[in-house]
Amino acid sequence: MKIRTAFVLLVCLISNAVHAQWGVRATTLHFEQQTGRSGLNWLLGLDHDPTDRTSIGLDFISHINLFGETADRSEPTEYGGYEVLYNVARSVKGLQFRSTYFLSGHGNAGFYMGTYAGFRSIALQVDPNVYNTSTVAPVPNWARRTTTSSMVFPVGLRWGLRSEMDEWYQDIYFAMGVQLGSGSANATLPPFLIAKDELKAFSIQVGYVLGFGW
Amino acid sequence: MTATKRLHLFSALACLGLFASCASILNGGKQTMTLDSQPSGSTVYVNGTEYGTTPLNYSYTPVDGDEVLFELRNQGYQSASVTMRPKRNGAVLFADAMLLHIPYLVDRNSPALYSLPTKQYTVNMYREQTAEMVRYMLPITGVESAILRGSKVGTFQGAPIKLDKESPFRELEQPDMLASAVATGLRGSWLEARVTRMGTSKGDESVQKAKIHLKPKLRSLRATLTGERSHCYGPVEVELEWRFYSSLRMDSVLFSIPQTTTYHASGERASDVIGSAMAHSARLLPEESGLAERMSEHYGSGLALSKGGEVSMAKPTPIPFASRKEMISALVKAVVTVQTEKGHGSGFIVSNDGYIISNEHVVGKEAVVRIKMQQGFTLDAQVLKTNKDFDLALLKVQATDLPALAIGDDKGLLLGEEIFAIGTPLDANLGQSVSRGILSGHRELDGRSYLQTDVSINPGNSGGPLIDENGKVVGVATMKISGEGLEGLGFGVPISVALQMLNIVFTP
Repeated sequence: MKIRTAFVLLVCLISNAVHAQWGVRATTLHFEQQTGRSGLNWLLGLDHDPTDRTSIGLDFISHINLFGETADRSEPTEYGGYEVLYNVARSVKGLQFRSTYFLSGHGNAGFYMGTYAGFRSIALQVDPNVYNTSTVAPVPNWARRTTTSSMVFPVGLRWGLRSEMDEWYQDIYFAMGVQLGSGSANATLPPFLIAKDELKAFSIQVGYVLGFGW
Repeated sequence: MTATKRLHLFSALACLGLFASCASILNGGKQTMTLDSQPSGSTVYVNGTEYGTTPLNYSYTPVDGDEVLFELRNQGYQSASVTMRPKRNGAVLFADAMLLHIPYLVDRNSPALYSLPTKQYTVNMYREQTAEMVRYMLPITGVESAILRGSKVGTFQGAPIKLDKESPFRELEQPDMLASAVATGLRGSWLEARVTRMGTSKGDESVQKAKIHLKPKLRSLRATLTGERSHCYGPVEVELEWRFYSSLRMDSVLFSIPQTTTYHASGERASDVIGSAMAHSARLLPEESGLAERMSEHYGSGLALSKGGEVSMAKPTPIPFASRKEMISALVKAVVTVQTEKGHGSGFIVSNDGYIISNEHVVGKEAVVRIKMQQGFTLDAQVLKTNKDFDLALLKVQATDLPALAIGDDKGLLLGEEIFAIGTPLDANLGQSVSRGILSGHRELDGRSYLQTDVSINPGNSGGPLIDENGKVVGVATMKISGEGLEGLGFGVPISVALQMLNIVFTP
């Protein structure tokens, strides 16, 4: 439903904008933490300048782990009288709409300020091990592998510096905002998760992207 | 529907309304302007479609495109066109961007998103020129300014403009720039203005030839500008005194015309406004009533001054010839070859005691030239006077009883009447060559009269006589226009003009 809404919005924007440049962008240097864990992401996007001072864009973002790790191991924690250690693997996919105003106003290049809004579909697979050293007790029924899917809606402000979309272009940016829905999403996660593995209420984005415009 | 859902629906509608009206709120209705012309009453066409008559209120709609072309037409005036580029307001675009471009989607076709560069625009209209106007060369030898450094010359966005180094009007301290602006304004009019530097040989020659030169004096300036330095608008009142000087008596003002004009800046850079205002004033100058008559009068006086002192000579005894068949053979005796260090030309004897008329460009600056007679002998001739304006020279040889040509009536010549040219074309050995043609027209070029003929005039023919069917001299062969595809375009100075401009008086 959300993807369809975003697609309709994109089609509307494309059909409304006539005289402007287009570009595609890609990077592996999009840093964004949905949880407190490593935050490098793939980013593949589309840029469009509908006016001489503004730009819009739509990005597809997917989590990567450049160093080959498939999961993170948690620190020991206490829950229900047990010591819990767990492995957590994340899968993140999302779309993000960007809207930009160029402060310098010179042919859609230079410093800009803008907003972003989108969604992230986050799947967390948690595989716990529990220990009880004081008594012999059965393994509790919550201590089993679970996969939780959550949806959050990042919204915030962006600042950056972009070159003109004339063939090769580049964009370096910083963004900060909130992840709407993170509170309710955290309620569905296994209760023994440490804070580092919970979805963050605030997030930042930092990145450097290369693109090709026409 | 639950209360929560109703609240959500109401909030969504309120947000949509806010977004939709965002552009209107921020832009404040700047998409309309008053369009006027000077003078008013011009018909306005917007992108080729008739819109109304000035003054009128124009409201921009995005249907009119990214660039709106206004064309103004008024009877008796040259049509004027102005292109205006409405821009989207920066604050509106910022709000659009911050609100994820949703207002842009809603109101991109709304006029409220756009703003015109000015609320009031006046187009300067200029009169059409009549084709039959006599054209005058008019050297501009400078522009004087009575505006002192540091004085206030108007306001820009309400702040005073003072004439100093940082002023957008610093061009006022550059007379060359102002003179160029005046020349630009006069371009295409019947006053062929050109910036000329006095004190150089070329400049002095040009001023002498024109007889009159222009040196306007800028008396005052009052600008009320708005906008930005890169695009400014508003009226600029210029008070000028157009001073016309005599080229022969350098310090004397022949006449002056006071003029106050209002130029309406139309989005140019502030530093260009003063030049545009000067050019505007200059464009209106040829429309001043009575100017053409005064130019003609003073130009004529200037020409008259160049003819020098009076030269009296006895009326020549005509060369006798029995029939028309013998006429030319008899007349060639009075035609001579004028030899100088640089080359040769032709001339003809107008008195039995040795006065010869030729061209100024034949004798140049030489005081004494060699005259080769048809009979074969050579004499030294003194150059008595020249008239550069009419390309005439009067020579004198010390001899008596020379054959001389009778003076004819050039004014009575009819189109198509036969004309003979006698001269020494190309080589001095081709002396007294005869060619025949007809009178093609009586012409007026640069305020001077000419006889146009298709008779062959070649290099060396210059200064030779043009002779009518009765064997009388009617003109002095002077020039020919040559070029690819051109033939038979020769010109001669009428003999009456030649006598007048050399100030020759015949005594009985």
